[in-house]
Amino acid sequence: MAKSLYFSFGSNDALLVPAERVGRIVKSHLANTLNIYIDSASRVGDPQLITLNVPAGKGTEAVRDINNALKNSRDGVIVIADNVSGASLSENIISVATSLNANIYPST
Amino acid sequence: MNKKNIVFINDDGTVYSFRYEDLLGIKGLGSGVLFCFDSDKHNEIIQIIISVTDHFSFLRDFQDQVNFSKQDFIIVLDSVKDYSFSNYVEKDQNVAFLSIASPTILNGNLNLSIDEDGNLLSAPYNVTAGDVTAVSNLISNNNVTFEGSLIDNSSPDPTAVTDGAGETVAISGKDSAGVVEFTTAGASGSNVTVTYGTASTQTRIPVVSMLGGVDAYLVSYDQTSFTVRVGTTGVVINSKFTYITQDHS
Repeated sequence: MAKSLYFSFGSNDALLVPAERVGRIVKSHLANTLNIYIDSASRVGDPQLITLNVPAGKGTEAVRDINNALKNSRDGVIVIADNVSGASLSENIISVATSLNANIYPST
Repeated sequence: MNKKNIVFINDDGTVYSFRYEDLLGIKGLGSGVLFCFDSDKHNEIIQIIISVTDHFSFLRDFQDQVNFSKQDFIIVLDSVKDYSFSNYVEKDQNVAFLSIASPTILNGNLNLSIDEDGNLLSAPYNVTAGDVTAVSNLISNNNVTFEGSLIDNSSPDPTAVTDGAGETVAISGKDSAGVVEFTTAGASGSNVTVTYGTASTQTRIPVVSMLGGVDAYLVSYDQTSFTVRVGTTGVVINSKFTYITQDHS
Protein backbone atom coordinates (compact mmCIF):
# COMPACT_ATOMS: atom_id res chain seq x y z
CA MET A 1 0.00 0.00 0.00
CA ALA A 2 1.24 3.45 -0.91
CA LYS A 3 1.32 5.71 2.14
CA SER A 4 1.57 9.43 2.54
CA LEU A 5 2.31 11.64 5.52
CA TYR A 6 -0.02 14.54 6.35
CA PHE A 7 1.06 17.68 8.16
CA SER A 8 -1.09 20.74 8.88
CA PHE A 9 0.21 24.03 10.24
CA GLY A 10 -3.09 25.85 9.67
CA SER A 11 -6.46 25.50 7.95
CA ASN A 12 -4.98 26.59 4.62
CA ASP A 13 -1.41 25.46 5.24
CA ALA A 14 -1.02 21.70 4.94
CA LEU A 15 1.05 19.15 3.06
CA LEU A 16 0.67 15.54 1.98
CA VAL A 17 4.00 13.86 1.20
CA PRO A 18 4.45 10.39 -0.32
CA ALA A 19 6.31 8.22 2.18
CA GLU A 20 8.94 7.44 -0.46
CA ARG A 21 9.96 11.10 -0.35
CA VAL A 22 10.84 11.06 3.32
CA GLY A 23 14.57 11.12 3.84
CA ARG A 24 16.28 11.49 7.15
CA ILE A 25 14.64 12.40 10.43
CA VAL A 26 16.78 14.35 12.86
CA LYS A 27 16.14 15.22 16.51
CA SER A 28 18.24 18.14 17.66
CA HIS A 29 19.68 17.98 21.15
CA LEU A 30 19.43 21.77 21.27
CA ALA A 31 15.67 22.07 20.99
CA ASN A 32 12.52 20.05 21.39
CA THR A 33 12.02 19.82 17.67
CA LEU A 34 12.20 17.07 15.12
CA ASN A 35 13.28 17.74 11.55
CA ILE A 36 11.90 15.63 8.73
CA TYR A 37 13.79 16.11 5.48
CA ILE A 38 11.97 15.29 2.28
CA ASP A 39 13.49 14.69 -1.10
CA SER A 40 13.84 17.80 -3.20
CA ALA A 41 13.52 17.73 -6.95
CA SER A 42 16.96 19.12 -7.59
CA ARG A 43 18.70 16.00 -6.25
CA VAL A 44 21.71 18.05 -5.21
CA GLY A 45 20.01 21.04 -3.66
CA ASP A 46 18.86 21.60 -0.14
CA PRO A 47 16.24 19.09 0.90
CA GLN A 48 12.89 20.41 2.02
CA LEU A 49 12.39 20.55 5.76
CA ILE A 50 9.37 19.99 7.98
CA THR A 51 9.87 20.82 11.64
CA LEU A 52 7.75 19.30 14.40
CA ASN A 53 7.48 20.24 18.05
CA VAL A 54 7.97 17.28 20.35
CA PRO A 55 7.82 16.96 24.15
CA ALA A 56 11.08 17.33 26.02
CA GLY A 57 13.05 14.13 25.96
CA LYS A 58 10.69 12.38 23.54
CA GLY A 59 12.55 12.81 20.29
CA THR A 60 13.61 9.19 20.01
CA GLU A 61 10.09 8.00 20.75
CA ALA A 62 8.69 10.35 18.10
CA VAL A 63 11.10 8.98 15.49
CA ARG A 64 10.14 5.45 16.49
CA ASP A 65 6.42 6.25 16.20
CA ILE A 66 6.84 7.71 12.71
CA ASN A 67 8.86 4.74 11.54
CA ASN A 68 6.32 2.32 13.00
CA ALA A 69 3.50 4.14 11.23
CA LEU A 70 5.35 4.08 7.93
CA LYS A 71 5.78 0.35 8.30
CA ASN A 72 2.57 -0.76 9.91
CA SER A 73 -0.21 1.77 9.28
CA ARG A 74 -3.23 0.41 7.47
CA ASP A 75 -4.31 3.91 6.57
CA GLY A 76 -2.92 5.39 3.35
CA VAL A 77 -2.90 8.88 4.87
CA ILE A 78 -0.88 9.01 8.08
CA VAL A 79 -1.64 12.17 10.06
CA ILE A 80 1.65 13.10 11.68
CA ALA A 81 0.47 16.40 13.16
CA ASP A 82 -2.59 18.54 12.50
CA ASN A 83 -2.48 21.90 14.26
CA VAL A 84 -6.08 22.61 13.27
CA SER A 85 -7.71 19.59 14.87
CA GLY A 86 -4.97 19.07 17.44
CA ALA A 87 -4.49 15.53 16.26
CA SER A 88 -1.08 13.93 16.09
CA LEU A 89 0.34 10.53 15.40
CA SER A 90 1.14 9.95 19.07
CA GLU A 91 1.68 11.70 22.38
CA ASN A 92 5.32 12.05 21.37
CA ILE A 93 4.50 14.61 18.68
CA ILE A 94 2.95 17.96 19.60
CA SER A 95 2.49 20.02 16.45
CA VAL A 96 3.94 21.35 13.21
CA ALA A 97 6.40 24.10 14.14
CA THR A 98 6.66 26.17 10.96
CA SER A 99 4.56 27.11 7.96
CA LEU A 100 4.57 24.50 5.22
CA ASN A 101 3.31 26.79 2.49
CA ALA A 102 6.11 29.22 3.08
CA ASN A 103 8.87 26.66 3.36
CA ILE A 104 8.07 23.69 1.15
CA TYR A 105 8.28 24.20 -2.63
CA PRO A 106 7.12 27.81 -2.41
CA SER A 107 5.67 29.14 -5.66
CA THR A 108 7.55 32.39 -5.48
CA MET B 1 6.80 2.19 -6.84
CA ASN B 2 3.29 3.01 -7.91
CA LYS B 3 3.07 3.27 -11.72
CA LYS B 4 -0.15 5.23 -11.99
CA ASN B 5 -0.48 8.49 -13.87
CA ILE B 6 -2.19 11.57 -12.52
CA VAL B 7 -4.22 13.41 -15.14
CA PHE B 8 -5.75 16.87 -15.42
CA ILE B 9 -7.83 17.92 -18.47
CA ASN B 10 -8.89 21.49 -19.16
CA ASP B 11 -12.09 22.40 -21.00
CA ASP B 12 -10.09 23.28 -24.12
CA GLY B 13 -8.82 19.70 -24.25
CA THR B 14 -5.37 20.40 -22.84
CA VAL B 15 -4.17 17.33 -20.96
CA TYR B 16 -1.55 17.31 -18.23
CA SER B 17 -0.37 13.85 -17.22
CA PHE B 18 2.25 13.11 -14.58
CA ARG B 19 3.70 9.94 -13.13
CA TYR B 20 2.82 9.28 -9.52
CA GLU B 21 6.48 8.58 -8.87
CA ASP B 22 7.23 12.21 -9.78
CA LEU B 23 4.81 13.50 -7.17
CA LEU B 24 6.77 15.49 -4.58
CA GLY B 25 3.80 16.38 -2.45
CA ILE B 26 0.39 18.02 -2.39
CA LYS B 27 -0.16 21.22 -0.51
CA GLY B 28 -3.48 21.65 1.21
CA LEU B 29 -4.67 25.25 0.89
CA GLY B 30 -8.12 24.92 2.45
CA SER B 31 -10.17 25.70 -0.66
CA GLY B 32 -7.54 24.36 -3.03
CA VAL B 33 -4.78 21.82 -3.42
CA LEU B 34 -1.44 22.35 -5.10
CA PHE B 35 0.18 19.32 -6.70
CA CYS B 36 3.99 19.51 -6.90
CA PHE B 37 5.75 17.30 -9.45
CA ASP B 38 9.39 16.83 -10.31
CA SER B 39 10.26 17.72 -13.90
CA ASP B 40 11.94 15.30 -16.28
CA LYS B 41 15.31 17.01 -15.90
CA HIS B 42 14.90 17.46 -12.17
CA ASN B 43 15.49 21.17 -12.55
CA GLU B 44 11.97 22.43 -12.14
CA ILE B 45 8.94 21.79 -10.01
CA ILE B 46 5.68 21.65 -11.91
CA GLN B 47 2.76 22.89 -9.87
CA ILE B 48 -0.89 22.29 -10.63
CA ILE B 49 -3.57 23.96 -8.54
CA ILE B 50 -7.25 23.05 -8.41
CA SER B 51 -10.13 24.18 -6.26
CA VAL B 52 -11.63 21.78 -3.75
CA THR B 53 -14.24 22.14 -1.06
CA ASP B 54 -12.21 20.36 1.63
CA HIS B 55 -8.53 19.67 1.09
CA PHE B 56 -8.17 16.92 3.71
CA SER B 57 -11.15 14.94 2.41
CA PHE B 58 -9.84 15.33 -1.12
CA LEU B 59 -6.39 14.10 -0.09
CA ARG B 60 -7.92 11.01 1.48
CA ASP B 61 -9.87 10.34 -1.71
CA PHE B 62 -6.69 10.80 -3.72
CA GLN B 63 -4.72 8.36 -1.59
CA ASP B 64 -7.52 5.80 -1.97
CA GLN B 65 -7.29 6.20 -5.74
CA VAL B 66 -3.54 5.68 -5.60
CA ASN B 67 -3.96 2.51 -3.62
CA PHE B 68 -7.17 0.96 -4.83
CA SER B 69 -8.06 2.24 -8.29
CA LYS B 70 -7.75 -0.42 -10.97
CA GLN B 71 -7.23 2.26 -13.59
CA ASP B 72 -3.76 3.29 -14.68
CA PHE B 73 -4.90 6.90 -14.84
CA ILE B 74 -6.13 8.87 -11.89
CA ILE B 75 -8.25 11.61 -13.44
CA VAL B 76 -8.21 14.36 -10.87
CA LEU B 77 -10.18 16.72 -13.09
CA ASP B 78 -11.69 16.37 -16.56
CA SER B 79 -13.30 19.71 -17.37
CA VAL B 80 -14.50 18.44 -20.75
CA LYS B 81 -16.62 15.72 -19.17
CA ASP B 82 -17.02 17.57 -15.89
CA TYR B 83 -15.63 14.57 -14.04
CA SER B 84 -13.42 13.92 -11.07
CA PHE B 85 -12.84 10.84 -8.94
CA SER B 86 -13.56 12.99 -5.91
CA ASN B 87 -16.76 14.80 -5.01
CA TYR B 88 -14.63 17.37 -3.19
CA VAL B 89 -13.28 18.80 -6.46
CA GLU B 90 -15.08 21.96 -7.59
CA LYS B 91 -16.82 21.71 -10.96
CA ASP B 92 -16.49 24.18 -13.83
CA GLN B 93 -12.85 24.99 -13.36
CA ASN B 94 -9.65 24.69 -15.29
CA VAL B 95 -6.36 23.82 -13.71
CA ALA B 96 -3.66 26.42 -13.31
CA PHE B 97 -0.21 25.30 -14.42
CA LEU B 98 2.96 26.77 -12.97
CA SER B 99 6.61 25.78 -13.10
CA ILE B 100 9.25 27.02 -10.72
CA ALA B 101 12.96 26.41 -10.41
CA SER B 102 13.97 23.59 -8.15
CA PRO B 103 15.08 24.40 -4.64
CA THR B 104 18.48 26.00 -4.43
CA ILE B 105 21.03 24.10 -6.45
CA LEU B 106 23.82 26.60 -6.24
CA ASN B 107 24.60 28.21 -2.97
CA GLY B 108 25.83 31.51 -4.15
CA ASN B 109 27.54 32.80 -7.19
CA LEU B 110 29.65 31.07 -9.77
CA ASN B 111 31.57 33.13 -12.26
CA LEU B 112 31.37 31.86 -15.80
CA SER B 113 33.44 33.34 -18.60
CA ILE B 114 31.80 31.64 -21.59
CA ASP B 115 28.13 31.65 -22.39
CA GLU B 116 26.11 28.67 -23.54
CA ASP B 117 26.95 29.40 -27.19
CA GLY B 118 30.67 29.36 -26.49
CA ASN B 119 31.10 33.12 -26.70
CA LEU B 120 33.49 34.83 -24.37
CA LEU B 121 31.59 37.05 -22.03
CA SER B 122 32.81 40.59 -21.67
CA ALA B 123 32.03 40.35 -18.00
CA PRO B 124 31.75 37.17 -15.97
CA TYR B 125 28.20 35.95 -15.57
CA ASN B 126 27.09 35.65 -12.01
CA VAL B 127 24.91 32.61 -11.61
CA THR B 128 22.65 33.12 -8.68
CA ALA B 129 20.93 30.55 -6.53
CA GLY B 130 18.11 28.95 -8.45
CA ASP B 131 19.50 29.88 -11.87
CA VAL B 132 19.61 26.25 -12.80
CA THR B 133 18.67 26.38 -16.46
CA ALA B 134 21.64 28.52 -17.45
CA VAL B 135 24.04 26.29 -15.59
CA SER B 136 22.67 23.05 -16.95
CA ASN B 137 22.86 24.42 -20.51
CA LEU B 138 26.44 25.51 -20.06
CA ILE B 139 27.59 22.25 -18.53
CA SER B 140 25.77 20.10 -21.07
CA ASN B 141 27.48 22.00 -23.90
CA ASN B 142 30.90 21.65 -22.27
CA ASN B 143 31.20 25.38 -22.61
CA VAL B 144 31.99 26.23 -19.10
CA THR B 145 35.03 27.52 -17.34
CA PHE B 146 35.28 28.72 -13.81
CA GLU B 147 36.71 31.90 -12.49
CA GLY B 148 37.09 33.23 -9.04
CA SER B 149 35.91 31.43 -6.00
CA LEU B 150 33.05 29.19 -5.12
CA ILE B 151 32.70 31.18 -1.94
CA ASP B 152 29.27 32.69 -1.85
CA ASN B 153 28.86 36.45 -1.86
CA SER B 154 26.19 35.96 0.71
CA SER B 155 28.39 33.80 2.90
CA PRO B 156 28.31 34.41 6.62
CA ASP B 157 30.90 37.23 6.74
CA PRO B 158 30.26 37.93 10.42
CA THR B 159 29.47 41.51 11.28
CA ALA B 160 28.99 41.43 15.02
CA VAL B 161 30.30 39.67 18.04
CA THR B 162 28.66 40.17 21.41
CA ASP B 163 29.67 38.91 24.80
CA GLY B 164 26.94 38.39 27.36
CA ALA B 165 29.20 39.08 30.33
CA GLY B 166 30.48 42.40 29.09
CA GLU B 167 33.94 41.39 27.97
CA THR B 168 35.08 42.59 24.60
CA VAL B 169 35.95 40.17 21.88
CA ALA B 170 37.50 40.92 18.55
CA ILE B 171 36.87 39.11 15.31
CA SER B 172 39.04 38.60 12.30
CA GLY B 173 38.64 36.80 9.05
CA LYS B 174 35.47 36.72 7.01
CA ASP B 175 33.27 34.55 4.90
CA SER B 176 32.73 31.11 6.28
CA ALA B 177 35.80 30.85 8.52
CA GLY B 178 37.33 33.12 11.09
CA VAL B 179 38.94 33.65 14.47
CA VAL B 180 37.38 35.19 17.55
CA GLU B 181 39.73 36.57 20.20
CA PHE B 182 38.92 37.62 23.74
CA THR B 183 40.43 41.05 24.28
CA THR B 184 39.62 40.86 27.97
CA ALA B 185 39.24 37.82 30.20
CA GLY B 186 35.95 35.96 29.89
CA ALA B 187 34.05 34.89 32.99
CA SER B 188 32.51 31.49 33.40
CA GLY B 189 29.08 31.28 31.82
CA SER B 190 29.46 34.29 29.56
CA ASN B 191 28.24 33.87 26.02
CA VAL B 192 29.89 34.97 22.83
CA THR B 193 27.54 35.24 19.86
CA VAL B 194 28.88 35.49 16.33
CA THR B 195 26.26 37.00 14.03
CA TYR B 196 26.47 36.41 10.29
CA GLY B 197 26.32 39.32 7.90
CA THR B 198 23.72 37.58 5.79
CA ALA B 199 21.05 35.38 7.29
CA SER B 200 20.39 32.05 5.66
CA THR B 201 17.13 30.29 5.01
CA GLN B 202 18.72 27.14 6.40
CA THR B 203 20.42 26.43 9.68
CA ARG B 204 24.16 26.84 9.44
CA ILE B 205 26.09 24.31 11.45
CA PRO B 206 29.47 25.68 12.58
CA VAL B 207 32.54 23.71 13.53
CA VAL B 208 34.24 25.50 16.42
CA SER B 209 37.78 24.74 17.60
CA MET B 210 39.27 26.14 20.78
CA LEU B 211 42.95 27.07 20.62
CA GLY B 212 45.35 26.13 23.39
CA GLY B 213 42.88 24.50 25.73
CA VAL B 214 40.47 27.43 25.91
CA ASP B 215 37.56 26.43 28.13
CA ALA B 216 34.53 27.25 25.99
CA TYR B 217 32.03 25.28 23.98
CA LEU B 218 29.37 25.67 21.30
CA VAL B 219 25.88 25.94 22.78
CA SER B 220 23.60 26.95 19.93
CA TYR B 221 23.41 27.77 16.24
CA ASP B 222 20.80 28.77 13.70
CA GLN B 223 20.47 30.66 10.40
CA THR B 224 21.75 33.93 11.74
CA SER B 225 24.37 33.25 14.40
CA PHE B 226 26.06 30.79 16.71
CA THR B 227 26.91 31.09 20.38
CA VAL B 228 29.89 29.86 22.38
CA ARG B 229 29.76 29.75 26.19
CA VAL B 230 32.75 30.11 28.50
CA GLY B 231 33.28 27.09 30.76
CA THR B 232 33.81 26.92 34.52
CA THR B 233 37.45 27.95 34.52
CA GLY B 234 36.85 31.08 32.47
CA VAL B 235 39.15 32.24 29.71
CA VAL B 236 42.14 34.56 29.84
CA ILE B 237 42.82 37.58 27.67
CA ASN B 238 43.83 36.81 24.09
CA SER B 239 42.18 33.40 24.17
CA LYS B 240 40.98 32.41 20.74
CA PHE B 241 38.69 30.05 18.95
CA THR B 242 38.30 29.40 15.27
CA TYR B 243 35.17 28.49 13.39
CA ILE B 244 34.12 27.18 10.02
CA THR B 245 30.51 27.35 8.99
CA GLN B 246 28.42 26.61 5.97
CA ASP B 247 27.73 28.86 3.01
CA HIS B 248 24.19 28.65 1.96
CA SER B 249 21.80 31.35 1.02
